[in-house]
Amino acid sequence: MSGSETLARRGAGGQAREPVPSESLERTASDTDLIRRVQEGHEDSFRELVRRYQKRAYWLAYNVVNDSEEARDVAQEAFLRVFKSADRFDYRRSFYTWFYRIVVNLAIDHLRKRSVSRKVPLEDLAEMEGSERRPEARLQDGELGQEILDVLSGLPEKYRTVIVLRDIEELSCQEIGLIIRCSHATVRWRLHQARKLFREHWARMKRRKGVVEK
Amino acid sequence: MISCEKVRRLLPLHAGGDIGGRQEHAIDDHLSQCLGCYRVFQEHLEGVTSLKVSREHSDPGPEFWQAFEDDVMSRARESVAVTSSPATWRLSAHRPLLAAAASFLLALTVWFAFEPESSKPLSKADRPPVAISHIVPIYEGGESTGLERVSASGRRSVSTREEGELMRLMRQLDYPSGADDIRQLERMQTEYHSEIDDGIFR
Repeated sequence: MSGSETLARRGAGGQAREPVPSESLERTASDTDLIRRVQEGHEDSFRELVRRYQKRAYWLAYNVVNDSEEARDVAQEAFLRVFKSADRFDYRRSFYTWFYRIVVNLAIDHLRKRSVSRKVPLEDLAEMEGSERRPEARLQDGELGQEILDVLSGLPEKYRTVIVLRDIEELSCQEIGLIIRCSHATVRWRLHQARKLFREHWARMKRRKGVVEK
Repeated sequence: MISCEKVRRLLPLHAGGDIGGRQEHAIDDHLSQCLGCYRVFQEHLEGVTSLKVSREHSDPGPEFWQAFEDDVMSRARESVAVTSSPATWRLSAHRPLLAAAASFLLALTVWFAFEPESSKPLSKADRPPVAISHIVPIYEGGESTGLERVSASGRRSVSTREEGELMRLMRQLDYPSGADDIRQLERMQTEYHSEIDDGIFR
């Protein structure tokens, strides 16, 4: 019951807990130390990894799948994969590269599983203006964020992944190569194509929006 | 002065600050003198800037993250309960000596019951084959359009179509065509991106 007691003490109100010595240790530990302790069965270490990476995992997934519920599923599943396969972690590599790869692969799997009918054609984006706001729209600052995500949704997944990792997550091309297992040259090629496509789709969406507003 | 055609080809990367060295200065010089290219650059820049701005999501709040964390921990505990002995974490966290003793006894039992595979040295014949990739050129209409890398296990590792696109672009840039092995392709890729980077690889 100790695990559930810990959760109960924290409560659902989001109040910060009083720091305790064991948690302080976890908070100063490196990612590698934490994953080593997860392998040894330390719950607090896994919890610390979740706290460190939950926002990055969620937003990365969200920018790829453009759906808050799916993003949450993807991010949570990614943490469970980390937990279940911690023994297979390669200590020569960085944790976040490994973790990001898991998130990206799961997000792409979700995209592939998603039915075609759920896709939003670019032609319909302008018509979505004024329609009922989706839950994720509440998470965004204004309409701009949603417009961007909708345009991103129109890009092929290999280009979408690279542009999200580079321009939103601000990772280097070298890091992206490690995450998606491509050469540096291929990452730059995809980035080149992705930005070109994004600009075209963005301009098209703006034009259509302008027509609808008139 | 660098040509408009070449500048426009490089603008998607330039807008994101992904071109360095002399090439970057050459593009900037061109943009300061060519209104047409500058307008295209502004469009690319708007796209990249919008993407960067979209990073500033409004936080859904501490309750959301707390629920997220609790869900993950709960699911992880469930997976422990399903896949291994019950309450492994609780034992290890709160009864360390008992947990250590139980783990030691379990390990001893397993050791004597089943000799681990890893303790048996593999003969040379039993070792898995070394994953040497080989290359298969792809032809369309009698013309080489790409290369397919096939590992020893038969797994493809590169999108042929994408490599084909890259090769076609390189041909437009007057690079030699008809590459028939991966070294040649990689050399061409490196040269293409060196042109973009002006020798600076980040």
